[in-house]
Parts: sequence; C-alpha cells; structure tokens
Amino acid sequence: MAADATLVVQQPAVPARIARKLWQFRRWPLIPMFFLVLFVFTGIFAPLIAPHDPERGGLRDRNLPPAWEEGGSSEFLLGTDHLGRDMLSRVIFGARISLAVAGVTLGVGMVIGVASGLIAGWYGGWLDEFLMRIVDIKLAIPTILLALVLVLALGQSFLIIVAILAIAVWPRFARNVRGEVLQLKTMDFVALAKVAGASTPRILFIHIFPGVINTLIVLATLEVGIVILLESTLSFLGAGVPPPTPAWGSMVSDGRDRLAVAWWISTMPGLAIMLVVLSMNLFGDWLRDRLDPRLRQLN
Amino acid sequence: MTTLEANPVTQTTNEVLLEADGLKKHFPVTKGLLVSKVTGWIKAVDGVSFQVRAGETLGIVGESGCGKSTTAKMLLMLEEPTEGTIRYQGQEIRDANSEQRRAYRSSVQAVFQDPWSSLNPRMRVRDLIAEPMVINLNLSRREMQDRVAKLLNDVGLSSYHANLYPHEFSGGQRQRLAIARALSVEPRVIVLDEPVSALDVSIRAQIMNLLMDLQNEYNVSYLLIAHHLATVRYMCDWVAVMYLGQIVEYGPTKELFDNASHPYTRALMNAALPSHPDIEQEEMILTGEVPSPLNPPEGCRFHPRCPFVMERCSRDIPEVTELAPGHIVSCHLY
Repeated sequence: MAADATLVVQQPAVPARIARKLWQFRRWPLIPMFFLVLFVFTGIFAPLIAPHDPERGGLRDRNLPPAWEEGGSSEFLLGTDHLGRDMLSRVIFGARISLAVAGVTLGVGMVIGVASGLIAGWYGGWLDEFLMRIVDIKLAIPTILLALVLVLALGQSFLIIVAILAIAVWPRFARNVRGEVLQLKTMDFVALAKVAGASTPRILFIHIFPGVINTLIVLATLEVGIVILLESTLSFLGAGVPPPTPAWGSMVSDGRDRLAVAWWISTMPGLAIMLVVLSMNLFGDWLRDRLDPRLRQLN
Repeated sequence: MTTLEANPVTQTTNEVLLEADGLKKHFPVTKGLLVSKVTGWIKAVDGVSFQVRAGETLGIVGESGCGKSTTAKMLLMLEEPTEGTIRYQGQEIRDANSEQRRAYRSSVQAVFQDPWSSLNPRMRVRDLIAEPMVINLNLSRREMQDRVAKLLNDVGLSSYHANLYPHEFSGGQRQRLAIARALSVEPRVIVLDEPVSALDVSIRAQIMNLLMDLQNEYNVSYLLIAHHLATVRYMCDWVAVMYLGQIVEYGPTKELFDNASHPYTRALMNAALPSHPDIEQEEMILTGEVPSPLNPPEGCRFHPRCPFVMERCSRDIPEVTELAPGHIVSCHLY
C-alpha cells in the first residue's frame, strides 16, 4: 500500500477542476447561447410552460401591469394586454411562432439556395447567368414591399408567410454557395475525382458540398436573426401570421396605442425580439470566427 | 506540318500503350458580354505526337506555358482535344463507348503537382485512396481495406495512417498518399504532372526513387511532365522537349542528353546548373521572352530567340529529321 501511495498523483480539488473546465469556455458566447437555448426550449414546450391560455383573457383583468409594478398581480408575471390575456403566456407562444417560421423558412430557403448555388457555380455559362440575374432581381426588390403585395394578393396564412420569407432568404445562400463552388471546383482534387471516373453528382455531393457546409452554418445563424426580424415586421404591419395567434410583431403593434397607459404590452415582445436577434447575431459572429481555420489558431 | 508524325522509333520492343497523334488544343479568346465574339485562339498545344510504352517513362520538358500541362489534361480527358487523336492500346478514345471509356478511366491515373490541393481536406485517407476503387471496382469492404493497407505500405506509410486526415501529413507524405490513390486501381499509365516540383529538395529524391520502385512493382508506365532537367534525366526512358505548344526534339534520354541538337534543347540544358561546379559548359543565354501562343511566330516558332537563326527560319516550317534511331528534331540546322 505504501508503495502505491507514492504513485498517486495529487488531484486538484474538485472546485479547481470545475473552474479549469469552465475556463475553456471563456471565449464562448455563453449569454447569447443561454438566451438561444431558452428561446428554442420555450418555443418547443410552450403549452407546458405557459401559465395561461395565450388566446383567452378576461376583460376584467385587462391592462394589468407586471407583477413588480404597483397594482400588478403574481398571477400575471408580465401583466396582461388590452384584452386581459396573460403577457407571459403570449410571449412564450410567440417564441413558438417565431421558431416555427424561422425554422421552416431557413430549411426551404437553404435547400433552394444551395441547389441553385451548386448548379450555377458548377455548370457556369448561361445557367449561372440566369440564376444570378434572378438573385440580382430579388436583391433589388425591397422584401417588405414584396411581402405586403404578396400577402394582399394571396391572403394571410402561415404557409404564405413562410413562402415569402423563403423567397427573401434563398438568394444570399445561392450567392455564397456559388462563390465557394467556383473556388472549390478549380482544386486539383476535383480534377482527380474526374480522372478517377467520378460522376457529377458524386463530385458535387462528396467533394464540393462538404466544403460549403461551414459557410452554410454561419450564414444560417446570421440569417435566422434577419428572418425573425422580418416576420416580426410583417406581423407588426398586420401582414404576418393572422391573429389571434400570438406573434411578437403583432403584439408590439397591439400595444402601440396604449404605450402611455400600458407600456408593457409593446415592450415585453419587443424585448423578446431584441434578445433573440441580438443573441443570434453574436452567436453567428462567434461561430464564423471559430469555423474559419485561419482564425482558429488565435484561440 | 511541323508535327512529329509517323515516329519511326523501333528501338524498343515494348508495346505502345498510350499514343498521341497530332494533338491540338486551341482555347478561344472571346470578347463581348452578351453575344461573345471569338477574337482569336490561344494555341496552347499545336500538333503534338508521342508514345508511352509499357513499363517505360516518357518525359515532357519545357518552360511554363509551353503546353505540357494542357497535354496532360487532354490525356486525362479533362480537356477535349481540338484536333488529333489519343489512342489507348490502339483504341481511339474519342470514339470509345462508355464501357471503354470507363476502362480507360481506370487505366490512366494521375498525380498532380500540388499535394495540398490534390487531396480533399474533408476526407479520411482511407476514403481518399479507396475512391478510384469505389468508383471503378466492385470490391467488398474487407478487400478494400486490405488494399488500402497494402498501398499505404507500398508508398512507405503505415496502415494506421488510413484513419487520419490529409492535414495531418507533410508535403512529401501527401504526395505519397496521392501516389497510393493513383495506384489503387492498378492503372497501366500514370500521368505525373510535376510530381516533385512542389516538394522540398531533400524530399524530391525520395519521391522519385519511390516512383521508380513502384514502376517495377506495378509494371506501370509514366508520362512525366517536368521543367527540371535533372528529374527527367533521372527518371525517363524517353524525353520530348516542348516549345510553344510543339515538340522540337524527341528521343531516348541518354541519346538526347548526350547529343542535344535543337538550339532550344541546348539552351535549356545550359540554363540548368551542372552537377559539379568545375564542369565547363558553353554559354548560351536566350534573349527575349517566349512569344504569345495567341500569335506564334511564322516559320519555326523558335526563330525570334534562336542564336543560329537563318533567313529561311522565319519563312519555312522545319521538317522532322531523324538524327539517330529514335532521336528526332525539327530544325533547319539538320
């Protein structure tokens, strides 16, 4: 036993070890990540978390201030809106709408953008010219204007909103993917894949696409913020997901006339939008630096 | 025609595997944004003929821009020849059906100059080496793994390297991986496009020796593209000297190096450092620049820079002359 004891390396005390572990994450955007996790979590489990039904309220409880204000009630932590609906529940369910819209939009926009970027970059020629001119045209039209016109023409529904936002999102993916493909396709390993007899789909999916993924991830994180903001803007203008579904943008709009009497109706969803978009942008910036091999050595 | 057609070489009995005949590649120069107009042609390769024989090495030398790499690309079916034919075992590949093209694809492989660009950074070594086999051969996982391990050993690496990524290797090791990949489908010909130029001088000899050992072991022919004469002299059985898209001199290595005849070949050899500093060599420094392949000189393409230029050089295209068995040159001096 005595001989064994000399071999035992002194382990640092438990708190010191935990501190060392945590120190590794010192450059991680922990606060933005916390808010993003919270956002996704509340979005998914909204019905389980929300204390009240977000679409039903009593007029007797209308315009109640948040719990910490004078006249507030602990039953409605963030107060109630002009129809007596619980603000906290509405913000929680708003997260669900934003999450759903952002998720579906990015999924659709990314598939379209990546496909057209790959095709344009790989084949070049008139196909490239054609796709990139469409991208130019799209980027020249103000998204909000386009969205308002389309909503007026086609009607207001979740699917239409997603379609409009996907149209707004895909060109940036197409542009970036095309640029990456133009660079990657000149690499010798692509020529060698051809020499080995690889088919075009094989080259595109095995040799080109993996080289684009980093860019895609970063672009997607930055784009999420834009999509959420756009969706809120559309809801604010009354062209978003139709009421009474609680969307953050329309909640801000609802409280606009009552700012003097009930500031919380606009402020609470506004804060939620700001926190999510800001967190997403900070997280995206960090991710871009981290996935860029030229910057990775710095950490 | 200045092309070195109907090469009368009968010196060796080895079967001709790969044959280029009057190969040309002209790239259009276009102008205009919407309706593009061809304003000229860059004659990157302008009538080149040579033969690669079984188990032998043919070297193509020339300065940058002379069309060496474009020639290699045409043989690898990465560029379509403008004119001329490529024959593999007597079969013209332009007319080949898809089955024959497949066979050609796996019989002719390549190793490129830059080992940093020629290995996909996102694939493991195992998948990189196995890719030609996955595409061309029908092997089980087990057989594939065994072959990858054997190939890694053959190129001087170990089987445990199969799990690593390319960025974990040095330049020389990466070039070994590229060679292993090229050998994986047991090709008959490997096009080596400047295989050692990007490597550290201390590594070059290792890779050259490796290539020569593998040539014996796998009975593969090489088409070596190089601008470094010592490399060519060391590795090749045959040498073709290219200038501005044409072969100016062609012959067995020893004969060509001992009796360099074309003024351009002689100038090239003079430009290289001798193997010993005391060796005296004639001074022959070319003046001027390589003319643009967009508008090559009339007559002999070398005449504006040739120290032995005669009046007819700017007028007549030189004929092909056979100086010794297999040693041919296109110059008015002979």
